[in-house]
Amino acid sequence: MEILDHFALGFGVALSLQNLAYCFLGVLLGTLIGVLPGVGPLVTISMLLPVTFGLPPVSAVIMLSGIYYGAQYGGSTTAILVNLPGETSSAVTCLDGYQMARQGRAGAALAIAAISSFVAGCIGTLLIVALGVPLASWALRFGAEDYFALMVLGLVAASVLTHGDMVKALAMVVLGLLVGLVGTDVNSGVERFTFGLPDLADGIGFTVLAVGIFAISEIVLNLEQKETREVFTKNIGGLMPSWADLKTAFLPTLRGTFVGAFFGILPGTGPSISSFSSYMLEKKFARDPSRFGKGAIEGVAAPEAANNAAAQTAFIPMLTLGIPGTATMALILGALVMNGVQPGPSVMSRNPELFWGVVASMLIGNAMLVALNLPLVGLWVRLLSIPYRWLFPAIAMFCALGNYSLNNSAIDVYLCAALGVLGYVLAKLKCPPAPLVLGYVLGPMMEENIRRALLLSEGDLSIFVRSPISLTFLTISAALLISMVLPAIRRGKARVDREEAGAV
Amino acid sequence: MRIVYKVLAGLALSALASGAQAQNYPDKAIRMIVPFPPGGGTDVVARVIAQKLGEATGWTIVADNKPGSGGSVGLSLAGKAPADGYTIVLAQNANLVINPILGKANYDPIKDFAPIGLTASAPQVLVVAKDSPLKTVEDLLAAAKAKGGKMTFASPGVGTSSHLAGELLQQLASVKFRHVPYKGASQALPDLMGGRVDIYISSVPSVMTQVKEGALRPIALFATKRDADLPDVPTFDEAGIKNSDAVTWWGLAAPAGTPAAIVARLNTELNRVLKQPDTQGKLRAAGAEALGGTAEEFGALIKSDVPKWTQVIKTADVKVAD
Amino acid sequence: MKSNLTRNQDALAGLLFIGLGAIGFAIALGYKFGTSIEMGPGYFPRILSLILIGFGIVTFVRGVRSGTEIDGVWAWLPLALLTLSIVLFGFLIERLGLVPALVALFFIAAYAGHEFRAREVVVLTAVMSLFAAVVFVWGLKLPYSLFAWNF
Repeated sequence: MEILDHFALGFGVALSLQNLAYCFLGVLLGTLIGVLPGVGPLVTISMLLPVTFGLPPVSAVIMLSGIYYGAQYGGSTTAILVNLPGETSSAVTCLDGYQMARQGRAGAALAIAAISSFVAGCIGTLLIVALGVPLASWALRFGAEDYFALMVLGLVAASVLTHGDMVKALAMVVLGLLVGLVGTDVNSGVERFTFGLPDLADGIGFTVLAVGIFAISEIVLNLEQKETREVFTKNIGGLMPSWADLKTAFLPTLRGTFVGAFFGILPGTGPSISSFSSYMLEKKFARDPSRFGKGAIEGVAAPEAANNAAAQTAFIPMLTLGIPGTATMALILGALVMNGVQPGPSVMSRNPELFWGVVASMLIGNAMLVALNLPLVGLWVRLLSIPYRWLFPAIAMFCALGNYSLNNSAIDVYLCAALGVLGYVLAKLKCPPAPLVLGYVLGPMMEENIRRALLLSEGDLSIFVRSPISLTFLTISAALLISMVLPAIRRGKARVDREEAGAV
Repeated sequence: MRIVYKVLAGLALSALASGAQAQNYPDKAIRMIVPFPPGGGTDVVARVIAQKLGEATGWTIVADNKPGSGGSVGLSLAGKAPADGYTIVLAQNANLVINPILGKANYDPIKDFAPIGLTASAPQVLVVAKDSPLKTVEDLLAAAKAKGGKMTFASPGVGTSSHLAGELLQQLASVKFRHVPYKGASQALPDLMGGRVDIYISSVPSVMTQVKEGALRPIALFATKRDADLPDVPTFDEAGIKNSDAVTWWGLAAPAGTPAAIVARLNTELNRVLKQPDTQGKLRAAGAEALGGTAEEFGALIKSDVPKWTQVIKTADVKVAD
Repeated sequence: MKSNLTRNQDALAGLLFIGLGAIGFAIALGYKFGTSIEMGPGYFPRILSLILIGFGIVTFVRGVRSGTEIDGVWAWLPLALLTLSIVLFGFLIERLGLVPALVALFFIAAYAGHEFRAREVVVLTAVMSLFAAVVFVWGLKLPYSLFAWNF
């Protein structure tokens, strides 16, 4: 078994005392910055990059990767505890995680987030090993028309994000699409909706939007009641998920892992799309979709699995093609090159110690993360017993400071405050925030890719059905639409019939 | 310790709110504005220079990332900062020279800044996929003419140095490409490798991996001389297309009105640092070549770049606002 | 019940969508529309704004018909104070430094709560300022002054 030899080599490298220490340092830092909103792996890795010059390449990459995937673990913590997404990918975790926390199940939510992240991280790592090269060349076949069709599928699926009023949810998607257009148009270079502010030329940051819409509006909603009411229930259930919880979360974790792995391989789609997609998929699969948004454990397990799997598989195009899918990957790629390692299809044979050492360290690092995060659950849950009058100014501090740290720019702080006002008003009017954030994520990619597809095809619309990938996504979208519209029409008709019958 | 220091620095700052003295310069931390987010090429160059300047002189130089709008946000802040020598900026031709021409910036590259010294440069390169029939500049131009303006040319964005290098090539060689802008390299490279676009122009470091691996083939450089990392790749100049250099350069600048003595001091220290082999090696690793020279030479470069790119942009009718 | 528009949940939501859509459309008029085959920068914004206005009208009409009122009260004062605290933080961090900005943030934000106990807020501010200084400035090496004077 050749692969066993490779793993033996990899573990030999990764288990050296020095590399274990760097791995631990990386995942510890990753967890910490994942918990802090705003400050993300990008900033941290670039700060640490000069420090790694003195290290052997393997140790450097082990540590930097640890920061990257470690941040995906920490990101869910504040999302679950106080509705404050710590990383871009954990906005979806707010939906059900925070509701679980309010029901006294914060411990179970945090633990399931860590466990599903662990499972997904390990499977994602194995995917790098087993299928890295073929998957990467498969991802190369995705053209602009295919990305566009994928985004259409995402938008159609968005309707399942709603509970209640479909029209308002769709309006929120459209509003999100518009918010996503703020900034420089990729195809023409025109700056749109920037009000002449150069600070808006790169668009509204995801963290700025998510913190404003989720965290700030939630604080104000909690301050609404005149009487002193504790936000979190006093009877905190068990710290660990029950056996039933684990059973419920098992399949969603696996499905989330594969959804996340898929998006991780596609350069440029980003971690938030993967967590949104897996959430929507779970809701579609659920026997009782109405539980979602009210503390369903699948709603935590699936997106957390997805963003961790995506974080791991994002290494595939980077390692095997040298194509960085995200800015953070670009940075790790830079670190590799500066350390004299040339990524590419033959990286496994040319730098076997590095490749297998890093892969083995990812398995070790994921185990460390779960060992690190599960005991922390008790500590985090105890934070919730702090009186809300102390807790909410501290949350406000993290919102303000986190947004400031994104670009060292006060504009982001002002913008976040303004979006907080909008978020509160929308929440009072029962307009769901998740569709808005999804529209924001999908909108720019959708526009960019349809225009690029038409530019490349010289205006030939048949490109969308000629590409088999695009055709597949569009067919699924159409089927999904029909499956949703038909029952709605039937229901509507039934209601009319009932009303007529009642009138008689 | 750092906190105490910061408190003292803050107090000192308020006492000496204005008018630093050139003779005891610097008596506090110097802020180096980096107009790009952490992690990019500019950030790496800035951090190497800040670190090396600090080591060589014992000064505290704080790199302060102020990204946004292709560098316009940071440059604009630097242009408006107090001209006391305590704010400097690592400018790049794309943001110092080109953004104002495109109407994407509210500063004047000549009037609002005091050049300190040219720091580093990196060439642009035109690449094709490994299975592309194009091998030489002649192939490229012949194919472009045969395709009658339908050859697709990918760039990392409208108004970037790479896009303008492509426009310059079209004007000098009298050919026409169809420009397909992307948002950086992450989607452009798959499209190039997958054969959906014909050519891509980019800075050398961001395609080096694929070139070394053989997935992409470099055709020619937009530079006056060959690149040390790509010794076999000719320049467009060698292929007979004169004045086709379109390098990316970085240089240190201060707000206009910064005392000449301070600018001279910074220039001396910058040149000293740029001569160190370690600095050169670190810049090399990031794909940039250490330069140097007097403040006047840097100023002259800016003054000659402005009309050059104004002409290219006007002829190509590149617009980012309408 | 139907007459009280100021508390009508969906009618207000509809008006908000219509307003935002109208603003979006007006701004997007300044961008080239292009055609469906060669879309200009104004194509998506204008179409989306119109769709948003359409959804807004539907929501408004449904609101007027159903007359569903919003739950609870509007917390305008806490909203204003919290927003002010965050805005002031952004304004002060570059001018007076991190610590004064946090002092402003904590005192104003805490005032948005139900009970304001000055002594508690002082302690909270001190603890959290120390935490922020240690984690962000010392630990993560972010280039913020703890105290400054930049006007």
